[in-house]
Amino acid sequence: MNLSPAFQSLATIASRLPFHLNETEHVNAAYRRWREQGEQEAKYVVELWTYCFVRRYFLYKFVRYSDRDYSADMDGLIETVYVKVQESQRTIADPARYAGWVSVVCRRAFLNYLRGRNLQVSLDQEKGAHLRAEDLHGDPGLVMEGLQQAIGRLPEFLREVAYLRFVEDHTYPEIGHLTGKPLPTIRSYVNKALAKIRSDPHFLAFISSF
Amino acid sequence: MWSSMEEKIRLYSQLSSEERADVEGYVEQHPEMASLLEEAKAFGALLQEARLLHADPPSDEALAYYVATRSITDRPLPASLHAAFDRIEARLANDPPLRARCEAIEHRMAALEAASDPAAQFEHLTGHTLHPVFEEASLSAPVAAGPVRPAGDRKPTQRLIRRLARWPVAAVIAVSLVVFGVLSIAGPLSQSEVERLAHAELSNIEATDLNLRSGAASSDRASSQALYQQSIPLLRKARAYTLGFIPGFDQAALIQATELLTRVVEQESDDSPLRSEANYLLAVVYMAQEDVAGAQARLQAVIAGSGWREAEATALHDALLTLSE
Repeated sequence: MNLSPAFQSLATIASRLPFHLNETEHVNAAYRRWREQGEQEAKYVVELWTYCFVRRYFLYKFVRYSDRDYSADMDGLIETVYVKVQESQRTIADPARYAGWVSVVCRRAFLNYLRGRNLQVSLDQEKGAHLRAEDLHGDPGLVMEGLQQAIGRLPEFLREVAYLRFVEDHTYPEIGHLTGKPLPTIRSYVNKALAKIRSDPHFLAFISSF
Repeated sequence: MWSSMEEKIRLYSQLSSEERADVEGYVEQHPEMASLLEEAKAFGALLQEARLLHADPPSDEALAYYVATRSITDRPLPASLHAAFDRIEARLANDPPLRARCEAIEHRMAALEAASDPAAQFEHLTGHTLHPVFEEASLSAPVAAGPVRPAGDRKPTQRLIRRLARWPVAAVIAVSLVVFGVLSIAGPLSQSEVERLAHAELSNIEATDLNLRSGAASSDRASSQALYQQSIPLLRKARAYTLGFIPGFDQAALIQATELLTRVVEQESDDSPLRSEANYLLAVVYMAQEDVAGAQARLQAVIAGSGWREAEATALHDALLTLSE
């Protein structure tokens, strides 16, 4: 996909990041360095990432609404969230969860915005401003990354089945076909993997920010 | 299959619709299990969210996320996103209606972006200055100036001579005021007095190539030194001549130098000589851009700072006050 001229302004900001927007371990590390050592270069990186992440979040949320021009609403919400992040970022208990925390701030702000507009569920086919289940979502890339890391920490014999079930959402018969394992084994592996992920301290810490 | 109903509730997200109805019926009869069921449902929702980008066919939200991420940066994707986007792109290649939906999303997103100014908003929110022209010069590019030597390598006499060489600057400024006052009666191609002062100051840049003590942490020190060193050739380049003899400025070089020096100021502590130097040079840049108020603010910061460049900053500040009267 070629970068459209319309995105050049935001791309200019993102190009200053020394890592991809979704490589959240780097921004978490930069945030920690700033919080603990006062590194100004790290602070700059955190500010760049925060702005780009917040803007991308509201871009892909607002693009779904096409009944009118939402650019002013979007810009206002971006500013509100960025200021909120700046005001509260020193209160984060675990610096390693900075990216997840920003994602939560974005999601809550978007939900408050939708509620503030007194939205009703609409039967109209036009993609107007009505509440959808996906409006409750945070950043899907972040959540996917957290889950895949948790799957990577599972015992090896569970990983393939866990990935096919939890990430790719295959049915049990499909997994059986792909892996050659019998259905009772697959069901047992899925249950074991789920129990282990739910008690994974790293994953629990990750989702606690959600 | 489940050792207990409690285990079955925990696995709610993996149950069939009939099994879920069974669980919900049980919880209605045993309300003490309601919180466990809510927790299991929330976990299920999280798993659903994690699967969003792998869903086949991709939803509008997945496509929007894909478009937004691809439009902002062309950096290599992290592994987890790579697999998901590969699947989306493979599907787009073979599904014209899906491709049309994706293009519609891209057009609407471009329209949203076109109605905004992210760079201006970023500058407003963070106080950082972004200059699009600066993108042509990479921070990682090697600097034409010589290697950076620790201050201790210089002999004491050499350092003393460099410091004493600055003192005549005040006299030069005073003389320049008289000379430039005469030249001000020239035609429309003449510069303003402030610009002429800036032009004269930039000529002094060639005479100095400093390695200053930095007040920043060791990792920031290298960065600040590198940023300052990269600004020097830009400031030299900024002093330009039109038609070979009409003094002027290379605005692009000024903007790039501003970006570098501003970062030095932000990284260095208040008592850092390097910060004072950067502020002094920024004052000169602002003068070249006829931003007298901005120049005076920078000079005041130098005067209140480490003592480095204090005499020169005082003389220049007084000169600007005289010109504004």
